[in-house]
Amino acid sequence: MACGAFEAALALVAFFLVGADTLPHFVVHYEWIPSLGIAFYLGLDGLSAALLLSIALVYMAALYAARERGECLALLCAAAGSIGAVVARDFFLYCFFCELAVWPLCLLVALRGGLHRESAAVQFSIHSLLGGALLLFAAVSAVSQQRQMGVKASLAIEQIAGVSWPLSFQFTALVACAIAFALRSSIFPFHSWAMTWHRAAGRSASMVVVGSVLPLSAYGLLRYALPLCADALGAWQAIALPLLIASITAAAFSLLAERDALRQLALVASCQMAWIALGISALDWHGLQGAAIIAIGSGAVVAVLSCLLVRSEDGVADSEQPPRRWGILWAVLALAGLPGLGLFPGYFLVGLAGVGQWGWWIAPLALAALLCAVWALRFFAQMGRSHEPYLGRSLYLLLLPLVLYSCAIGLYPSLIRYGELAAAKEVVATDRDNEGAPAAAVDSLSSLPGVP
Amino acid sequence: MVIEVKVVALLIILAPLLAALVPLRGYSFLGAALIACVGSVFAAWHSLVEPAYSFDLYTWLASETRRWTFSLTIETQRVALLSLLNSVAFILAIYALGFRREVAGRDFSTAALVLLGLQIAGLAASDITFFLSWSVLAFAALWCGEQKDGWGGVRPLDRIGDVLLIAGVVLLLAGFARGAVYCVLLAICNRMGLLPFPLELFNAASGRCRGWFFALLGDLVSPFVALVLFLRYRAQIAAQVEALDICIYIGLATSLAAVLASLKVEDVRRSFSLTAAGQMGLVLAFMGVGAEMAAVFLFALHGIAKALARVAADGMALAAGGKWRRREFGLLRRELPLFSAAFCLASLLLALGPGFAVLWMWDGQQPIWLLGALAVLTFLYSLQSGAVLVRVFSLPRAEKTHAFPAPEQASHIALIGLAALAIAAAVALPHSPLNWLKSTGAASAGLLAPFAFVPLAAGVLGALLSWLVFRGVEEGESALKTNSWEQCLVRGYYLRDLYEVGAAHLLWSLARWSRDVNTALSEVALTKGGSLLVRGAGWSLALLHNGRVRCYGAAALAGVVALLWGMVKE
Repeated sequence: MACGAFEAALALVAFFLVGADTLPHFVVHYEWIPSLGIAFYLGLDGLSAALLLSIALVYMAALYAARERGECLALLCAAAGSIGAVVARDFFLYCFFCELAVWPLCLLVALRGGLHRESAAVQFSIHSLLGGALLLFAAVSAVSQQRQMGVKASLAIEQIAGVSWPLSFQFTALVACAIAFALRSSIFPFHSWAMTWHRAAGRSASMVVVGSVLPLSAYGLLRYALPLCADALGAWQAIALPLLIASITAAAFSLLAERDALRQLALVASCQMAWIALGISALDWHGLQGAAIIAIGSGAVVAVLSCLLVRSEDGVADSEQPPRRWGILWAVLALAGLPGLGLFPGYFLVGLAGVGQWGWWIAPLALAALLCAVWALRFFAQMGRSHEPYLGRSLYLLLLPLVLYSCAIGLYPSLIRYGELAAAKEVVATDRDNEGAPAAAVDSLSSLPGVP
Repeated sequence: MVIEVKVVALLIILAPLLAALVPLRGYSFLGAALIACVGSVFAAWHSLVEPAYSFDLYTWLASETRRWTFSLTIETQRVALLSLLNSVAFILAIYALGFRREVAGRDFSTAALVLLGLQIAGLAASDITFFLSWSVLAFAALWCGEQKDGWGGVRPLDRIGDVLLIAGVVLLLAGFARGAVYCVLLAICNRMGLLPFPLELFNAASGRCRGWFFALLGDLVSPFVALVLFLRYRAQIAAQVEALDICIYIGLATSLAAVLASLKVEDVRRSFSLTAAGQMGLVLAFMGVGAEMAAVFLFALHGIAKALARVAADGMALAAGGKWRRREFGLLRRELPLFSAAFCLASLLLALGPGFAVLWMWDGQQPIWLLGALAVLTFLYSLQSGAVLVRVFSLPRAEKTHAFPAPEQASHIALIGLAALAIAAAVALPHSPLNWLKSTGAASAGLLAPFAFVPLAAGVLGALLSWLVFRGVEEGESALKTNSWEQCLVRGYYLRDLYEVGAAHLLWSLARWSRDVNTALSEVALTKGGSLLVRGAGWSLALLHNGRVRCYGAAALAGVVALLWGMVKE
């Protein structure tokens, strides 16, 4: 717990020092595997500092909620992996730290989980492993491609954004990254592992997955996958839209049909991830900014919700719990998109980018938003009536920073700046000259509103 | 001067926010209402002597091409209306604090949130700021009723308005003006409780709420926010000619359905909700016609009169042991003379409001059928109000059977204040502010002479008929009893027969039909039907986990392909 608090304090200091700057601070750079161009390259910029703070706050609460020493150990290992993945500025390092974040959680649930723990751990590990393998494939392919192009191989963010990737490679990388993202972030219909996971995992492991593992996947998509395959994504926008809209709408429908609160948690997280993917697919400054806001905001909000839900480990209900009811109300209203609570700017910007990019085809998104609002109100009505087990005042207090952080994002979304788009645009411009990228892809990025 | 008005604008927003956070048993709500009232009057005065003034609070979000700010503006028309509504809110606060002290602090917090939504809507300059007020209102409305009534059923419908408004804003930003206009129109209908949404939106979950609270939320703030939205987007709406026609049709249809349904409703709360929807329908129709001043006049008169009626009914219901039936109110007129009189005065003003507004609307440009339709509606409103009056005054007085708390001085002050404000609005509003509105470019009033008598005559005739009919009904006299022709004339039996043969059967049938249709639409089609549909679809999709649906889907797809193949071959 002390370690988590220290970590959160450091993250807060770093957040204020870095601000919304897009240039990296606190840079550490060592060659790790020079033959493959892999470096131990760490640094913090505005986007990663904002995510770092959110993840550190989640881990602080999760460590407090941990029941025993073994659980704390696993969580600390996962925290090291998660924080490493955020501060990494090398694609390979990011993949490495992501695996480090996932496996302790698998072990934790396999050994100390609840109902169907083996199934949950196996499903989670298979999805993560497959996703990790695909990401690794994309990274290795990038190295190989650079060698073919006669460029000094490197997987640093700056290099990925600066190289003119051939379109054929981009399509391959896009497929790998998209499937990896869908598997790891439990996008509908790849969400079944999450539904089992949240029922089997304890409070801490569940919080960590929704507050750290899922946002990390989105972060990877924004940071590495987008600069790697922006043209290909532009060419396949027309395919991405129906898939993502169907995913969001189906998850929203399923939310209303699902009775189990923990499975609903999995579905709502899946819905948020699909929103992020939609924002990225729009290839518009507003969409990317919205995706970044949802990635960070939804991590905090869904983690709070996950912490407040009643679980089998909680014991006997004793009395009414006003802080728990207020917390759940706050979380569901934030998820429903009430302004000022964290997620509204993200929804707004993604919607704006989507309408600009796809026009009326984006209309089902309104239905999905409405269904989510209906779910939110029903969820609170179901949760808020009965007497519930006492969680402890300290845990409620530890959730407060997450609530405040999320509200700060809602009230002043410029706290989070996605600053990599200019580099992505340069990639596209170079490709247009050299490789003859498809007209749709070029137009979609070169005519971006908000990008000089 | 600029600094002062900026401070005042911030103050009238911050005061309700603080009151919502710190209820202080309602005293903070009273203080916030007072500050908002005085502040908005000052802002209104400032807007009359100085040009319109806008300022940014802070930049919410910015890109290279767009900037969204939280910004406020002091605009004459809106601030004048705001000051009027804040005065009513202040009187409601006096009533709530004086006569309803048992109300929990949480209710006062919610009322303060509603007040906050009102202030932000009145002062919002940017779309984002306006949407904030819109959502604050939806958030406050969550507390309208018991959880089992509202949370899972009707309340989410209110969220439809939020989604529609933000969709409208986004579409407008993306250059889809036509789609944006229809989204905004639907959002307006949602907040005003008009068709195609349930007419009794704000009454559907009224389990825990008090009369004064509903007056604030359902009759003042929510329609005001919708009206402001219309005024904000009037240029875009006017650019779509058919959109204005749709406003007229929706408004008239809602008004007709609501007034017919309310004729046979005995529960006063339902009656209030239906009347509000009906009169807001007329407001929308007036906006569609282009008669802004008539719309604003009717909105203001309705808001104040309805607040008076709600407060009076709240006191009488409290005295009647929590019963909200008109008959109970009638029995209490000796015990609560001031409340009864206020209730009757409010009913009268509600009946006459549409007639007055029609007078102000008509300038010879509108089609004659519209005037006829409005005259019919005015007649129906008079009939409905006449029924209320007859219920209250024609029943035998009750013995003191109810144990009820004696009304306190504060409630009398509130009643008298509201009554004075309502009469002033009805009498004075057409003269000064409407003339001033006329100078701002709204449609001009004139050419009234040939038709001036129509709504008034219809109103008087409706009231007379309803008096006679209900009096006869309540006396319970046998229809077989022989009377002389003089007695028949004196007792109005000829008129009653004429009314029953010519109109009553048709009207009552229509009323029942309309009430049932509305109930069916709102409760069955929109909530139960929608819920079943959604749940069914959800279950189907949830089955994706076990893979069966994928097999069914593949089989169905194969069938469709085979069918298409067959068609192509043919």
